[in-house]
Amino acid sequence: MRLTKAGAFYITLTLLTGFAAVNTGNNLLFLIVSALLAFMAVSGIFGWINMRGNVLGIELPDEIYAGRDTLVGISLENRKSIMPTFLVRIRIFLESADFTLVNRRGTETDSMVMKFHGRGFKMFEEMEIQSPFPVNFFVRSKRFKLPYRFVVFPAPKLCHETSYFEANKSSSEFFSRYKGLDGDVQKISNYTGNEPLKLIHWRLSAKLGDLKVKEMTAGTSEPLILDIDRLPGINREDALSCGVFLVNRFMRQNRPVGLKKGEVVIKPALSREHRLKLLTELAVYDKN
Amino acid sequence: MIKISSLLIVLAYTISFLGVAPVFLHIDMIPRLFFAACFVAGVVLDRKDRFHVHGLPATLISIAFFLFYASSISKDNLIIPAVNILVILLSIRLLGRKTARNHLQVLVLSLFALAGSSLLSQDMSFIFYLVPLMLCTAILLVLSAFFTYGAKQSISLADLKKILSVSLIMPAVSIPILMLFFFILPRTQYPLWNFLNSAGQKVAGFSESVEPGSAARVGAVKTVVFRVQSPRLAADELYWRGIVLNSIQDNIWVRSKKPLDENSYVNRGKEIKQIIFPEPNTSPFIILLNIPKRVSGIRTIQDPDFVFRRKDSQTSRQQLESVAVLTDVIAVKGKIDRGAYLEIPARISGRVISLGKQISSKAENDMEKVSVLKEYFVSQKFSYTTGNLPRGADPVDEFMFARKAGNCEFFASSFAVLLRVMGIPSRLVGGYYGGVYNDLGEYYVVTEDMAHVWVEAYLDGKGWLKIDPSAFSANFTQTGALRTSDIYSKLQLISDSMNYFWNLAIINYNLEKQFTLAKKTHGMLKDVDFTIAYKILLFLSVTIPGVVTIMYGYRRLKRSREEILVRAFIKKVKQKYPTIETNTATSLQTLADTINEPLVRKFADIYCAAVYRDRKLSDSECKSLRKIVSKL
Repeated sequence: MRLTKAGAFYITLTLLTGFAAVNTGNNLLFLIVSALLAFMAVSGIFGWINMRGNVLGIELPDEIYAGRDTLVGISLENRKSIMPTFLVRIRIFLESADFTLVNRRGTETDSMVMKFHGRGFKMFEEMEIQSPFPVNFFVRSKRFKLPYRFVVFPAPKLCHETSYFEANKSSSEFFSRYKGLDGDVQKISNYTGNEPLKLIHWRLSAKLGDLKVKEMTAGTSEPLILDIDRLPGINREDALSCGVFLVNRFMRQNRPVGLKKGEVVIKPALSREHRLKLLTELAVYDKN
Repeated sequence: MIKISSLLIVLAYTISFLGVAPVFLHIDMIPRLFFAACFVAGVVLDRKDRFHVHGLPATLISIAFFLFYASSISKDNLIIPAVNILVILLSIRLLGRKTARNHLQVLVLSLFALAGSSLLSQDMSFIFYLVPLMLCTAILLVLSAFFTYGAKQSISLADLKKILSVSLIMPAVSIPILMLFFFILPRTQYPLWNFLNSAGQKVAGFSESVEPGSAARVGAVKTVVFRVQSPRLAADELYWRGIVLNSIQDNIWVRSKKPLDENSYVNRGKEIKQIIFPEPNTSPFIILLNIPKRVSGIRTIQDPDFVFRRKDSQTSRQQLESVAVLTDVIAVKGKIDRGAYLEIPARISGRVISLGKQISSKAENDMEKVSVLKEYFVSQKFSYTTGNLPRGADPVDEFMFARKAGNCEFFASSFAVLLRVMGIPSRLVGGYYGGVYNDLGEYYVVTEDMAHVWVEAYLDGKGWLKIDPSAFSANFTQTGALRTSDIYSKLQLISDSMNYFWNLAIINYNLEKQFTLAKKTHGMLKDVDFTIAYKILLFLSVTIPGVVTIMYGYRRLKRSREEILVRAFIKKVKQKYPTIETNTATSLQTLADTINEPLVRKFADIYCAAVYRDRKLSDSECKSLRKIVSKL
């Protein structure tokens, strides 16, 4: 609990009036002092109630890159049934979000732009909920840890070197699970009316007397596996940043990417989950 | 949307008004006008939101006024200049831009002004300023917190209602705490700055000398002089004794020390116990029911003629207990200074002297002389009036023989002079006659317009006999205790009883009462009267906690060692991680996964290893789990 200037002012005023009351024996002055003291006591109780029954929630995006602005969603749930929560400020690291009023048994949301430094798993270690309610004489605050573990990926760094990439030539080891127009023929199926005309297998249709279409896989480039130890960069962090850039770039180009980490190899694949898995591997590489 | 700043401005003006209103009539004309002008100008400037007065000009004006009024401060004139300065400073703040700092300054200066008013008047109206001021203060402070701390500068009507409801609940909840603080805050027996308190006004109706004909009319001021907690008395018993005027100097009745050396006493009679609450005044004479026997509660000096004087000046409201004897006679042991009591005025008309001698010749003794004089007064059909009073070189002569109308001063002084002419020692008694009985509070209220003078005549072997010559007038029943009872008067009575209880409970509360209250509380606890109600209360107060304790203990005993440990563990986790959903139903492994803290993981591992394999925790496991809980 921190005393504010206004609070110090109020306490001084109360002390002065109290001093005058005792020395004059004037009961009306005693009445003013009693009112000031009672109000201070009640505001303390209200401030204490205000800080109770508040549950904080945090919503982070899937992809957080070190040193990049990240939009973090904050929600404050008021579980009190007697009064709303007023004037709450949530401080996380150096950023803060303000909640002017959260209704009884209600939830309010806000967001803040944050920057996380350094890759790897992180936790919200220094969180603070504070409030000057009701009269800004004292700012009550409560520090706590939020056991919310999240991963910060290395910041992507543009790099062009490809000589270190070890491509996996064996295409049989990989095929896209997605339908497409320019991949390999996966199977023949009946024409439903939705397929483009170029996919109709005319010869087979004529032979069977029914329209048949070729079901193609999505077109994929040649799968590749990135060897972490051979990633370009002036140091390890630089190399990992390059790795993130390449994973993102190749997968955006629909090229399956795998990862080689010492002896361990993660097979190339092409999905969002797989991309996040690779980025996580890069984020925690060499971290305990 | 409503702008918070606009609301704060309105509240600041309201607070300044509530702070200045109670002192407005007490302060000088310059601060009065200055405040009114600044109030209006401030509103205009705030509406336009420009040309605010702050910085150097505001400081210079403040310093100039401060020096001007500070120069007039003295020991006897401290409060008014100080309040003048406060009002000026507050007025200047109203001209400034309304920032959070400005609001706080306005609030503090207004509160100081209100505090200053308590040193000028202790009227009940104070509470009507204090309560709304505290309400506005609560709202102002809460909104100010929203203004300075909250991100929003405007607020919706729905949100405003919620904020206002909390702001108003706070002062409401404060009231019982206020009462508690009021009664327990430490008081001192002899406050050092007691001189700062209002000494009150000089009593207007009650006079320390009587000079008939000095004024053409007597004002009928309804100001309360004192209140008396007393049983109801008959109208002719309501004579309140204040002063005895025993000497005539230049036709003025005054109090002289010369004839006071006499040994007087009051015979046995019906004793009336009263508690008297005089309004603060500067007179040393204490007004008490005739004839006062004893006074306690303050330090007094009693003169032989049963006049009681204060030893110390009255600086605050006091209450005193008195015992009066309902009798018309003050007995005297030994002799009195007859010469002093028989002095007649230097200027006295021949008609008065011859009238005295004429009445004297008709009677054989003093008792008869008094009776004949009484009869003469009745036969003359004098009328009682407070307006168009006799004046001129010899107003008593004019009253007796020409005008035949006057107030109590004429009746009493002419009667007393005639007694002296007839050789009977006499003196005037000044005080009050009558009183309005307030059934609500069971007390008499005596106002200035009830001021009265009567006569005491000395009769050998009997003593000083009370005679009220005004009672011989044709219309005496119009005065004194018999008052009208219209709605206005009834409302006045209600208002007065509120003031009475205000003085009784608030203004007169002091160290002595604090001790009495503490003693009473102690006594109540000590000598508990074991009636059935108390027995039930005592029984319940013992059994309910007992039953609760037993139930709690039983439930605790019923719990296994494992359950107690898990409950303690979850309680600790909740304290450390308030945002985590935890209860006894949550799997400990899930909790450990979520929190990711080694201690939590260790607890979960040890606990699950035992309990989920259907065996009880060993002693060593329990010990280590307890250690984990304490470390958490």
